[in-house]
Amino acid sequence: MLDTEIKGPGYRIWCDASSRTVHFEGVLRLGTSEFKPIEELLDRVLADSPPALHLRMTELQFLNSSGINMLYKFAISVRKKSGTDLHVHASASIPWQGKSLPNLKKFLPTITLTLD
Amino acid sequence: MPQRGRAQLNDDAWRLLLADPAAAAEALADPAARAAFVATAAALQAEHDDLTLLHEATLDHANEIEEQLAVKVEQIEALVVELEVRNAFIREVFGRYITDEVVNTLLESPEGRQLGGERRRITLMLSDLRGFSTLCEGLGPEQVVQILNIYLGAMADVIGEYKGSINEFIGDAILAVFGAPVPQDDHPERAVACALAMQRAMTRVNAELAAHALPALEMGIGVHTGEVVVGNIGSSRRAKYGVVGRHVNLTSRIESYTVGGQVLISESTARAIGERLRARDRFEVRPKGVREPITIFDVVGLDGPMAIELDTGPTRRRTFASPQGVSYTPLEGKDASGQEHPALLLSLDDHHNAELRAATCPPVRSDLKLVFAALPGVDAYAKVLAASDGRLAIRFTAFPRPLAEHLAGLPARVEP
Repeated sequence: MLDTEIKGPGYRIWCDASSRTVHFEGVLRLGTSEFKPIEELLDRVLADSPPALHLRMTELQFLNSSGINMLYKFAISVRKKSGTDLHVHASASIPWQGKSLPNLKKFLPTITLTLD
Repeated sequence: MPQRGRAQLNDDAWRLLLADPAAAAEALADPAARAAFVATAAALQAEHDDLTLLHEATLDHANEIEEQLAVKVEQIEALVVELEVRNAFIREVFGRYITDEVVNTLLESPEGRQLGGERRRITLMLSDLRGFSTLCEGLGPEQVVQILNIYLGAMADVIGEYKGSINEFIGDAILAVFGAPVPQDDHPERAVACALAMQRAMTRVNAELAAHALPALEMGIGVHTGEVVVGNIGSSRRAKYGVVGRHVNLTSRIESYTVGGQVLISESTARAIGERLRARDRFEVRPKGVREPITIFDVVGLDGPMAIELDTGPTRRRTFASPQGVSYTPLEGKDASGQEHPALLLSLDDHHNAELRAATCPPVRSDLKLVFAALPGVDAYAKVLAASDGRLAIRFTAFPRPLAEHLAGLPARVEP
């Protein structure tokens, strides 16, 4: 896992290799095709077959439908690959996270979701 | 996808089989092909389940976001309504006194709502009704309010036309400023033109009052230009746009020298207007609390872009067949404790200008209290306009109705 970063106006996604954590920050409202680089970053991280992988969403204020779709598909990939425990860290004070992130369990029953 | 690879059948092969049931039945007769078919169908079913779930969960998320958006839109709409109500309220409250232009300027600039003042040269205008307190004595409260509403409403309209800001209604007096809050280069001229227009508007006011069987009013106006502190004065809970400074008091002093229908202005205002000013008289006064004597101009008109003149109209003078006995007392300020002097009322015109014969002559511009022999309980008040050789020209500043009725009933010679 490499320290990488994807940045755009109002958002930033970056990997911290040492803690095997992908950080999502800001407001993500890209078109479906514009999510491609983020999708590829997640796929690369998963390709290393880490035993555990963390997605930190606590600083992600907004995520549109294309974004959540990408996230759900990533959960499916993790389930199909097996061998990687996915941990998602969410914030209870961001309303959409409390509603939409628990749905990740439907795609990946082994996921751990913590709502801070 | 890898699942379908296990079935060893590609998409094209599947499509061919599905399009031709007879060929499919033939192909599936082979057990290995049947096993491949079942494996592929299972993989497709699993993928279908995932996609259905993905679709539903994504829609849920979209609905959630849309719901939040709808709530936000409602909140914004409520805020817009609240803001409109608030602005309408501010406009209505202030709009009674100052023009829409001023209100909009204040609403648009954040500084407009901040407390604090600035020193600025402006022109002040103070109008007051002559003898209003005396006039009110014989009237009910509803009538007093009705008179004030007709009068103040008409004056506020005129002040608005000349883009003045009414700073305060003090009973029957109006304090208006020109040159603040919105700066106006021509504030002295505007204020004087406005004062003359207000005097002209009194004809309409009195006609309306007469139509309601209410007594006529007379107004005096003082105008003065000087440096004052203007700004939002008060606390954050209750502030008003106000003016403070000695020039406010001086304006009030100048106004106190007026008789009904008059516009008196200070030298500073007169100088600012220059040759466009038309005055019928100028005189020096020594107001209380002011060290140096000040020169006051009795204005009848204005030339130039804001040309206007007083509407003097024709006057009729009635000379009484038998002079009326009256005693006058010079007033020190508003306190009537001086000595009584006998005099005779010779004549009176439509504008309450009268001629007296008296043995002693009080100073010009002094105020008098008059009591007529025929009406011992009725006090009238007047200002001395001129005095010489035992003859006094006075102007009544309070002319009680019983006196008006008494004098109207006396035989007299009428001159135009």
